[in-house]
Amino acid sequence: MNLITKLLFLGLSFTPAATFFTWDGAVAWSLLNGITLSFDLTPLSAFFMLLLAIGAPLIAVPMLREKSDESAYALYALLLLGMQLLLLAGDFIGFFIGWEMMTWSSYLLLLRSPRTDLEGAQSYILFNLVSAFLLLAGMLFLYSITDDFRIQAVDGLLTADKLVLFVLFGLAFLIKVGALPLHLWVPRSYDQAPDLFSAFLSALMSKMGIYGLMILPLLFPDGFNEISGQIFNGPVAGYVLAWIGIITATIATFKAISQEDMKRLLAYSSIAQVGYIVTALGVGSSLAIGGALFQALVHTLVKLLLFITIAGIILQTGHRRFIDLGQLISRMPISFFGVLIGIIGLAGMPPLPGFAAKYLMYVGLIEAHWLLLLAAMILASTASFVYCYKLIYGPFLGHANSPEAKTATEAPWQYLIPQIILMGMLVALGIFPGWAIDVLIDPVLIGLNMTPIGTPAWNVLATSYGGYDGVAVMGVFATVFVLITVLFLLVRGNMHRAASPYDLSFCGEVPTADTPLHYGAGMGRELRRVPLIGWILRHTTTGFYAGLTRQTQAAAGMIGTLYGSNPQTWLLLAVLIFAVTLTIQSVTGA
Amino acid sequence: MTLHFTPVWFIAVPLLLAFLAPLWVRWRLLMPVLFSAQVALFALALSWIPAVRIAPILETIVIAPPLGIHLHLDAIALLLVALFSFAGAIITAFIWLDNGAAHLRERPAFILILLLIAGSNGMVLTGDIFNLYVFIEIVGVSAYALAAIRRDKTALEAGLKYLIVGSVAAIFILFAIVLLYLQTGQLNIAALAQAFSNMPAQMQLLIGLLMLIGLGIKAELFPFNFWVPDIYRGSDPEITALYSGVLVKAFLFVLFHLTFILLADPTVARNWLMALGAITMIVAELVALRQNDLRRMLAYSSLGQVGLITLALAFASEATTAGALFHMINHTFIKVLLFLLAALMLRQYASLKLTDVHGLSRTMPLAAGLFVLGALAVLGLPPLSGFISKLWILKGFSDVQTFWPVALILTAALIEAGYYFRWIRAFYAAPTDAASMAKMEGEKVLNYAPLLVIAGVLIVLGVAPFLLEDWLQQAAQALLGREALLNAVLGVQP
Repeated sequence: MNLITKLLFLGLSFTPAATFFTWDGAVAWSLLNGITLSFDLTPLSAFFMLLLAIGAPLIAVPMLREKSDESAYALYALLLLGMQLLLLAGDFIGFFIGWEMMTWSSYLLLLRSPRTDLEGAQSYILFNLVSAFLLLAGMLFLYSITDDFRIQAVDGLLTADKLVLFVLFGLAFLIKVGALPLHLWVPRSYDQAPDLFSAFLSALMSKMGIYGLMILPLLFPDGFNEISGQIFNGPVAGYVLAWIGIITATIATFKAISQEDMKRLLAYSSIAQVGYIVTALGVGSSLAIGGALFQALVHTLVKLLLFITIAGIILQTGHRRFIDLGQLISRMPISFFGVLIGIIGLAGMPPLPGFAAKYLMYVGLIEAHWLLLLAAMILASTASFVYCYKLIYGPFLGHANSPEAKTATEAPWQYLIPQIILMGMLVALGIFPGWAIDVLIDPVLIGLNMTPIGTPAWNVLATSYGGYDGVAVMGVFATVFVLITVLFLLVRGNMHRAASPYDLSFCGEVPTADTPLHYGAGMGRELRRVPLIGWILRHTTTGFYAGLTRQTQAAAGMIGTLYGSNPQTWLLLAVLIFAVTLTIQSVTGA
Repeated sequence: MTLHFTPVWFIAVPLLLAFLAPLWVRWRLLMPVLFSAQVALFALALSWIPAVRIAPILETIVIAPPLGIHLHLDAIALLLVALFSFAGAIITAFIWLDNGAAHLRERPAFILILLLIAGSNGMVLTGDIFNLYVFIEIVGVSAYALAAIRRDKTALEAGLKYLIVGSVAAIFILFAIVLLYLQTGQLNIAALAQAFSNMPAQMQLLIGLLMLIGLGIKAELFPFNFWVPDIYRGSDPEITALYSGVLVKAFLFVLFHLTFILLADPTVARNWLMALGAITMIVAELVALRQNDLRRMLAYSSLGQVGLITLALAFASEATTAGALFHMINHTFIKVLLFLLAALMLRQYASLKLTDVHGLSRTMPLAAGLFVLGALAVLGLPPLSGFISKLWILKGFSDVQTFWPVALILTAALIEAGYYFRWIRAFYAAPTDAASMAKMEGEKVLNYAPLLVIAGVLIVLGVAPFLLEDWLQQAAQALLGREALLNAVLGVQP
């Protein structure tokens, strides 16, 4: 029985893949007179469906390890159903239905973690509902003008109408991708969610906001130009969006560096990475959109890999903070490689495909001559090396800092299989960046009426600003890696090993057991002394939202005093209102 | 001999069964009779659909209108009668199957519930304003008695308070009716409607205001709804489900029926009623944020939904009206579901305070799951039917580019989410008192059968709302179609 349930669940996790491969022809469902839902797979939605098809089973496999939990499985299936509806929808009603099903089923899954507190749960659902209601308002506004809910180009809108639509939809999707200052819910929920579900939230659900932002240009056939005029050879709206993305990316990167907890670090890193995508969408050129799609693909794979690996570490050690871990490299070697490959992809370094994605986005920014943005992006991207380093150093290198870390063993096979598959995918994409361009990205660009990027061969990434050969780069890196490993193994026997982490002294002091020797301890604290960054890190939006909640509660309490429990007051009030209204009306002579 | 079905049955059958109560007690048939009466009425209502679709049915008693009394069964009346008997059937089935609350399965409750249903049906069906008053009193008296039926301190207090405030409301209504009669010499609603516009403006205003306050108290509109939380909290949740599901809906219908038929131009009252609805909605949702008792929270949430329905009905466009009627139906289902869940929870928990129900999903997984379903539906989240009705209303406002109600409704839904999800999170949190959890008994699926029926209906109507669409549109036309109704009752005027 147990096994059958699990197999059924595994089968359900392949539904996005089934939809992706077998979908043919449009489906329509008439809800009410005048509201007909239409579902079809466009090239753009097919791209995101592919991400879902890859991610869903890979997260389902490690979920099978735990005790069979029917309601979690059912919610997961509902979540997948909602996301597929949202991707297939050809009209806003269907989109909204999928969007909301995704919201509430993911919320209920979030509640299944014992770590979820009231603030985390409430901020998750309320932010997402604000996003959903903005979306609803936007589509109702669109409907009031065009009498139609379909997602299609709208002609003859006034500039003011376009601006309203742009702001409503833009805000809705920016909340979903966690752009600053609307990101409060992201670190909380990624942190508190069940460990594997964090992978789903970060890798797949944040992409739905990106999908939303990408269907936005479909509404405006002549681009964002008309909304607000031009600036620096581009539309102002796109420029603003690009800056929102890059500010999000920069601040989130510094936030990530100063985190002490692996999952929180990954959460901020996720915000930052999605920020790059928003920037690229703001640029809006074919190269930049191609880069955004590539980044979406890579970020999905990388975050799946990292969150699943981290979930494995947490499972085996019970610790999530850097200072409690260490020296797992010898005990969890496969996980080590998982994180290694993951951070190389995350940092956008060659030879992995993260580099190709970043490269395309950089080239897009150069092409648009938005050099200030380019500089900011390079800054954020470089700063992200620090948190990537922290992520590999903290758990795997140095000394083990807790009894559990000293005795941990490699994660169970259910966790390792997805890790190995994802590592393989990342390496393969690194070797064949041109394949991704040719097979995955160009069809989408053609579907969006943009010039495809094109590629001479599957192993080459080529743009008019130069490119590189994936096989050659990977070959060089692989050779160097093998050489260094061999050298290391040869000389290892001669290296001195400390018997105890406390077998040292610094500045004339001998550390005790209380001295935090771990490299991760306090790392990023120094950032607070940097003038602007320190100011940003010290200020959060938490206070604002907490204040908003308090004020609402206070207002509620004040109005609540009206509802006393004395019948005489009720009646007195009714009679008074009667008398006053009558008097006013008589005096004014209605 | 063939039986002749007439609309009178909707009132006469429950009354007759109530008078025969001693017989049912002797034969130990109280609950079966109560349940099958509702089911029979529901089936009867469904059997009328084809006939009413063609033309409304007029049942005159003794003399033809405008002199005599008549019942008027059109699409809207049929819709509400069907809704009342369906909700009644669900609630009585629940009381029957439930093993707690013995006092609800005895003769007084039996009679009072039947009287309440008969009165509500009468309010919806009658075409005579004094008759309407009589039905309001029947409903009122049975409701006061039902509030106090548990006979402990809180229930008696609730019953007394309800009696006081309800009677005052009835006096307001009676004054209005008396004034109407003095001015026109008529009691037939259609005849009154024709004469109403000939009255002096001051008198129209006075009558309108008296009616508004009287019905506003009964239909739970702000600022006349301060009594609601106390009474909903004090009565049994099964009875509260009847109030929120049946009683309020009947009074809302009466309020809007009279507004639309008496006023030749309903836009006169539109702004007043829309403002009342909007304020009711926002105030109730805000106050609900601070409620720490489940039943009080549900009471405020019910007020908020009544505000929303009022806001949409008062706009008097066909789309918003149809949407509002759909929302009325959904709200009845949802609140019946939630209040009955509260009843089940009360069997296990001494109090339903937010801090006491932590971890409820461990012992009552089905109840917690159904609560989530109800909450999602009341918030208007797809794929449940609450979404469709809200969408219909919002679409109706967007059709004519009126955006302030859209913004208000969405804001209210957000505030509502703020508290509903607080409760959901409490249900799924770790239990505060693990020791007392252990001795709780498990759930009996039989108790949940009526609730599962509602859950099924909510899902089916959410996925396939077109099943009800025609009926709802006809109902909206019937509610708004003043001319058609006047012609049907009085004959075409020369």
